[in-house]
Amino acid sequence: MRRSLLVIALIFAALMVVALEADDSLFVQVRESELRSAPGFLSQIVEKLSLGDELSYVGERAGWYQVTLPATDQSGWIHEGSVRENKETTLQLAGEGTTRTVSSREIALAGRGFSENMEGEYESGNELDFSAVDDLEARRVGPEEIVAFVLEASLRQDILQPAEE
Amino acid sequence: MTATTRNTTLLIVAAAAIVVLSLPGCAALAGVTGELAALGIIDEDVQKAVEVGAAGAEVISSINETFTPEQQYYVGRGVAATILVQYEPYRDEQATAYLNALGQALALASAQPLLYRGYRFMILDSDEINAFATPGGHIFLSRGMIRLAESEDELAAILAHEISHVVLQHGMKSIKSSRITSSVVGALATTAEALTDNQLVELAASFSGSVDDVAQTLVTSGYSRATERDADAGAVEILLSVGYDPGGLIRILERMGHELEPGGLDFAKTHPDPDVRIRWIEDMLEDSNVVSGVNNSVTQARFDAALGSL
Repeated sequence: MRRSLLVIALIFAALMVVALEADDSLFVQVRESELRSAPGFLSQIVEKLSLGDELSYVGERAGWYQVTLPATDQSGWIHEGSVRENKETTLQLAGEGTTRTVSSREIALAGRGFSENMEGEYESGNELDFSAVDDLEARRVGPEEIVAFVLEASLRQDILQPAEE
Repeated sequence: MTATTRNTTLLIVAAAAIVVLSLPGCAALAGVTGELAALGIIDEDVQKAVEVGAAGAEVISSINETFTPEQQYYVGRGVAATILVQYEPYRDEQATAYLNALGQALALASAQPLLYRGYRFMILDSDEINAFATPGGHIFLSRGMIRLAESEDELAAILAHEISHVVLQHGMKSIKSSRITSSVVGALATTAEALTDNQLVELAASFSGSVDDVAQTLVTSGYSRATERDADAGAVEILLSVGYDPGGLIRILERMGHELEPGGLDFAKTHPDPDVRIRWIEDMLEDSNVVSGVNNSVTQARFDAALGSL
């Protein structure tokens, strides 16, 4: 009896360890992001990241997380707004005698104008103009432009790069 | 150990094990209800009730955790498209480039500098005094609004107010709880993790309704006074972080007070009276010590060059 108790206790402990380990993972929650050599938008980019990439938490400073990439062990810094702690959840979708897994993204895309296929349909149905939205989104302001904008007028530089500790 | 205490001990260990073993199940349910809340199908209270009822423990995430940046982006895209049915873009390259550089600098100083696809700024070809920010970071300013500004810190004040609406997720919070459909709630009560195709269609319809809720709030009904006050407070913080004089917000509101026409369908309809906003901003600034090292001749020169012909 004692032995079975011990087994249960060990299983219990093992599950706790798994749960704790999982807490160290962070996932990229924006479409594109960068791993940088130090905290700050002026720091050198050491790796390009994309939505869903998994990172391991190491530490944090001034709104930035120090992380490593489990795949390559590459270490660097990422802004805290670019990551979340839980991976995207999936839902089981029971159809006509079949069960398939849909991601939350698919559900998000299922609404009006939220997938490429549906967008055209709704564009005409609701007289919506997604091409103008695409134009708006196509505009990019490069990092060097923002830096120049800040520096030439003596705006505060710490919005680009937190001060050294 | 007697048989009774042994059984009691076993029962406690077993109960503890069940709690741990069922955690993935709880997480799955929390995921499902979280998604539905994110899509505007159920509100937080319903999400909480379902989760508490099913799991016997509170598994609730805050509203900030419920919506992913990606979901906010797609709602925002729908809202932006809706706005661009009513307004034409004003395509002036120099003015738009300047607006975007200023906007990006301000966004970097906000609590949420990075969105799913970042912030984007567009001028609308309208004489109205108006501005909109979608949950996805699409920010629109009318020509009439931009013409009210006479300096970079005044324009920065308007942009910072709009950025604050995005950061504080005001748009997402305007989605009505009535987007809950009875069959979705019914499905949750029985088989939480299994949704039929039919229910998925309903989710889509409700999501579409959610986009309409946000657009309706931005264009027609406006936010509450408390919400606008929070956006003004956020704007003041951003302006101070970047080094601009937050008094720019007061100056442009004073001008807005003179120019807004009673009964107008722009800020006159969707925002509190500028005098009311000026009073609460003055209270916010009472204790702040503004030390600005901004080179005003540089900001004025680039402001005039970019927007002089607007």
